Amino acid sequence: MTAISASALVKTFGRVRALDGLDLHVDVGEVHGFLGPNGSGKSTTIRVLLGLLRADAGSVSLLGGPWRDAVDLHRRLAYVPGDVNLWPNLTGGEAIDLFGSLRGGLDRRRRDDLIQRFQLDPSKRARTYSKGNRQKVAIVAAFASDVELYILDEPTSGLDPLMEAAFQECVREVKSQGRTVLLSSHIFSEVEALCDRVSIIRQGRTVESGTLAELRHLTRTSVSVDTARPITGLAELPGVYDAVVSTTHATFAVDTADLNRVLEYLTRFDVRALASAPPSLEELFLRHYGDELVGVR
Amino acid sequence: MSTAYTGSGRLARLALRRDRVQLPVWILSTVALGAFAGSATDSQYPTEADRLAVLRVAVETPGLLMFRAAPTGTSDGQMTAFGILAFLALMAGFMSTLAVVRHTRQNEETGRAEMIGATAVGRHANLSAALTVVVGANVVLAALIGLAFTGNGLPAAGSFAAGAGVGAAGIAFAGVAAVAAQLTQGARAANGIAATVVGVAYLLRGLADVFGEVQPDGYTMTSAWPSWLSPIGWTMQMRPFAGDRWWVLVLPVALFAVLTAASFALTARRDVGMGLLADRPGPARASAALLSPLGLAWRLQRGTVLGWTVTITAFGLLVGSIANAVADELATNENVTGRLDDLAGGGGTR
Ligand SMILES: Nc1ncnc2c1ncn2[C@@H]1O[C@H](COP(=O)(O)OP(=O)(O)OP(=O)(O)O)[C@@H](O)[C@H]1O
Ligand SMILES: [Mg+2]
Repeated sequence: MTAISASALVKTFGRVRALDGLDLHVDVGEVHGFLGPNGSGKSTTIRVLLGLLRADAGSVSLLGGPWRDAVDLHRRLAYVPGDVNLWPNLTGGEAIDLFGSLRGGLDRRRRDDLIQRFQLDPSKRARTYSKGNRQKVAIVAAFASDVELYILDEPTSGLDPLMEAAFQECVREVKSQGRTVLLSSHIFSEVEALCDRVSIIRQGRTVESGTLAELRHLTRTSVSVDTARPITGLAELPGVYDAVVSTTHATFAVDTADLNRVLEYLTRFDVRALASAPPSLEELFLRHYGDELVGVR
Repeated sequence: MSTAYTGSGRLARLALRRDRVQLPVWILSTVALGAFAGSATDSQYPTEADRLAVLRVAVETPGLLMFRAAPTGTSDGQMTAFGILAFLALMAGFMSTLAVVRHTRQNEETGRAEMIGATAVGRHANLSAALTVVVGANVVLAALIGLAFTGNGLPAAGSFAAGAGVGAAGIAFAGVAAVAAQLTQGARAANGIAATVVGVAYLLRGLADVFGEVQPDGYTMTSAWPSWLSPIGWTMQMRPFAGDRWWVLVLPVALFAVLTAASFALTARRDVGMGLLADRPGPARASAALLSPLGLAWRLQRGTVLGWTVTITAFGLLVGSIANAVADELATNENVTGRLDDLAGGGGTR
């Protein structure tokens, strides 16, 4: 079952082509990471999904329908933007209840519990809240709602590490209840910790989509190796990059597809110690960002 | 029934909650001003002769007609309408436009409309909530003006006609602001457009009175036709205490209906947060002037500074013309000298 299915979305703002044939597919029950450099179109995609912006072309289907009317759909989802603005003279608690009631009700016990967990003072007026505290108001309002889909656009920007942990716990809870989360984020550790699958977009187009393992497979593993005999010929092997060899010690990166062959080659030097690290999400990213800078792929 | 208006009630309550100080202050100060001006008429111009004298000057003095209105007679009610009614309509206009923009475009500019729009509310809920609240505020304003004038001892029919005329102008301007809020991406610009329309409507009413026709009695006037182009002109054309032409209310109500329909249609056609007038891209680099403190201040404030400069210049010219007109009048009309100071509101006519 798909929770979100968007295909070939196009959205232009004047001469800016913010979305340029973007595809996004999220299954029910998964936590889906949505990554991309600044200005790549993540927020625009999310606004199109929410019906706040109308795409110039492409199709969107959320929670089993193209919806003629957004109201019924919106009862079944919760949204947290990256930059939360509240009504200055309302308290945080009032704002939480307001969002809850606009969404069609919220669980009071869960609301109070979340306020505790996020250490939010709900009686303060919104004008006195810091950025992180405003963010918490939206997060609490979202997770206190009984909905099937959470659409979160950089929800933790401005949260301290303790609150980040509380947020991750919330995401795990809703995931364990079989709910779906779309999480746009620039925080790699957060995405690595939470997401089943990720989509990476660039300039309004999806460039990669899959599980973290699948994405890793497309990239390089870094290897550090100690051998008994001096290593030769490593740098010349296909699929090996950035090799630094000092007699019996070498570090290099290898295309994950070539990993097995390279390890076989290394065994002839009598491997004593080997450490390999899968590429971090950050490295995956930098590769895409870097390509963008050089203009090749 | 479509769900486009779902959530309007909740959002209207939210708007009332946000405005629980602001709107009452606007309403009460407008009512208080009307009540005070009305009760002052009696003490300022106790006799019929005083009133005739002052109105005979007024109909010949452009500046007075500009800031008061075309006189309709010498009764307490007519003097009150002459003295303050156009100004009350102006205040209702500003109350309405500020409130409508506050609850529509300002929410979009700050991103609150996006969070609201992602909940189970209809596309038109925000605008309909804002208009409901502002129309309600004007109805309350109209009723309170009616009560206050009646409390001053004026005839009830005329009092409530005056109140209705003021409230109806406020409602018409709420429609103007609803359209202005569709045009720009920023709330300040939308407020600027709407307030300009209110100001122009006041000026138009004023000019129509200045160019109006003095009746054979020498102290009442019929405004020139441009008065019919201005919602504030319509307030005066209702002629409270001088015939109470209730049918004139059709005009502001019709204007409101047309503008509201237009603004809903525009809302349906555009994206949340966007204006129909696109923001122009600006320069990518700071000019040398911008990097000095004065240059920065100018760049940030130039819109405001230019706006105020134009306004104050226009005001100065107007006051100058009043002073001249009054001076001419004084030279020829000795018996009204004593009254002029009161009428010009201490504007320094001597
Ligand atoms: N209202 C708008 N008017 C004009 N251009 C816009 C508007 N909103 C977005 N854009 C443009 O669309 C592109 C995508 O923006 P978007 O906000 O979706 O990026 P993003 O991936 O969310 O970036 P970030 O990581 O910084 O949040 C950018 O080039 C941006 O300038
Ligand atoms: Mg964004």
